[in-house]
Amino acid sequence: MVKEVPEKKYPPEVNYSTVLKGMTRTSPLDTAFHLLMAILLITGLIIDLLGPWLGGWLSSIRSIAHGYVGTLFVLVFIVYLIAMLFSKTMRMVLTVTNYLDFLLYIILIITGITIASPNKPWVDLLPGLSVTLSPIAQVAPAVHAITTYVWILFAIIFPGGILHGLASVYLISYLKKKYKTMREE
Amino acid sequence: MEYAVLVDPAKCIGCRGCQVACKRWNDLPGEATKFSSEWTNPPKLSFNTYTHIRFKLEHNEATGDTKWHFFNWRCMHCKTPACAEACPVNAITKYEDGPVVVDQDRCIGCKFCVSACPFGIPKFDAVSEKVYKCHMCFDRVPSKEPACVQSCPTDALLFDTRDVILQKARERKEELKGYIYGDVDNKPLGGTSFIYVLDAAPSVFGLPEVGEGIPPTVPVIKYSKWMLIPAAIGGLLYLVAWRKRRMKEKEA
Repeated sequence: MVKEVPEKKYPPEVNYSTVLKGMTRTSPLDTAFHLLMAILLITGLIIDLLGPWLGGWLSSIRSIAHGYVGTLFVLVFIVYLIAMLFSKTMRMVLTVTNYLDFLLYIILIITGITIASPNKPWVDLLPGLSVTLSPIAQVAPAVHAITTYVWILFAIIFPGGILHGLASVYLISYLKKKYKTMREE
Repeated sequence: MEYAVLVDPAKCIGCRGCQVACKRWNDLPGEATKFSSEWTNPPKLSFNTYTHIRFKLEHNEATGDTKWHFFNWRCMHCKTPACAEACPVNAITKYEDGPVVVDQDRCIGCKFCVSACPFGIPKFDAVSEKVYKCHMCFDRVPSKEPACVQSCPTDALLFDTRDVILQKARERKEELKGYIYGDVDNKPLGGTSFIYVLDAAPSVFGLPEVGEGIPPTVPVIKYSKWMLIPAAIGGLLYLVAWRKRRMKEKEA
């Protein structure tokens, strides 16, 4: 009996929902990582761009959506790095362009921790941390802000962003093909 | 009219009256502290200690003599404050009459000011998630002098219009054969509203060397958002290309 294979739609339909579903299927960790990063980016931009107008209204956004989510992001990032070392799937997700992303994430994390650390009780739990971070304390806010905007530039118009997009399209179309074949079987 | 305070360490007896007066006027709680080797107590400023007396021991290697220096330390109330420039929500204001004040209702506790201040003055309170510092008693000035000045029994702190204070600083400098820190001899961040007339080099008192202009890392924070313009243009071009492709697909 000849199996009928439905005609493939190319390019595959890619929207936020399919990307999110594809990412979740491939790696919940990667999805969590990117979602948290998106929250941090959006809240950071809100604070930086709307701060002069919204003022104190941004207090909880800064402390909860940027501060505590930032802490969660750092923890997820550590797990993400460990997963990267031991999982082939995770390494597949890490395309060439993501390497630059990673460098920018690390700069953002280090400067973010530096900005957050003054007079915070958790600093006392990590002896030596404040001494280690003190040489970059004065430049940390500037580096944090600049890196964010460089990252946005990189993600939108530089070739890295285009490659990143292509990699996502490829990954999602590959997954679609794979799951379609599995369903048909 | 701009006002200023003259700080004269040579007249200071280290009584800490200014510390207590500041606590009382601002209704700030006391702190459990430990003695440091320099006797400065509390050893550092905090979110509920806006001012303290610093104790510095000067040792002359040549003569073997030692000398104590006492002086009041708190926010310098700079003319062009780096903290205000760094604040993303405009919560810090430089008043025309001198004080640099943090508006607690606007402060979001981002701590950019903590990083920006070359004197290390603004302090973050992890409970209220706000930043606090000396406000030069802006709620008293100019009808009354700041609480610390009023409490000083030896006139080591003097409050007056900036011109008068500068004149007094020059005269006192001549007397002491000393150095003016905050204006005349050096102008940290464009000059400060607390002006020190010192009987020894600023390094003896541990006063930092600060340039006249705001450190370049501070305005960069505000200018960096201009990078969004090429990003926005790129995004717009992408949207146009995407729409064109969609139209073509529909036509096909």
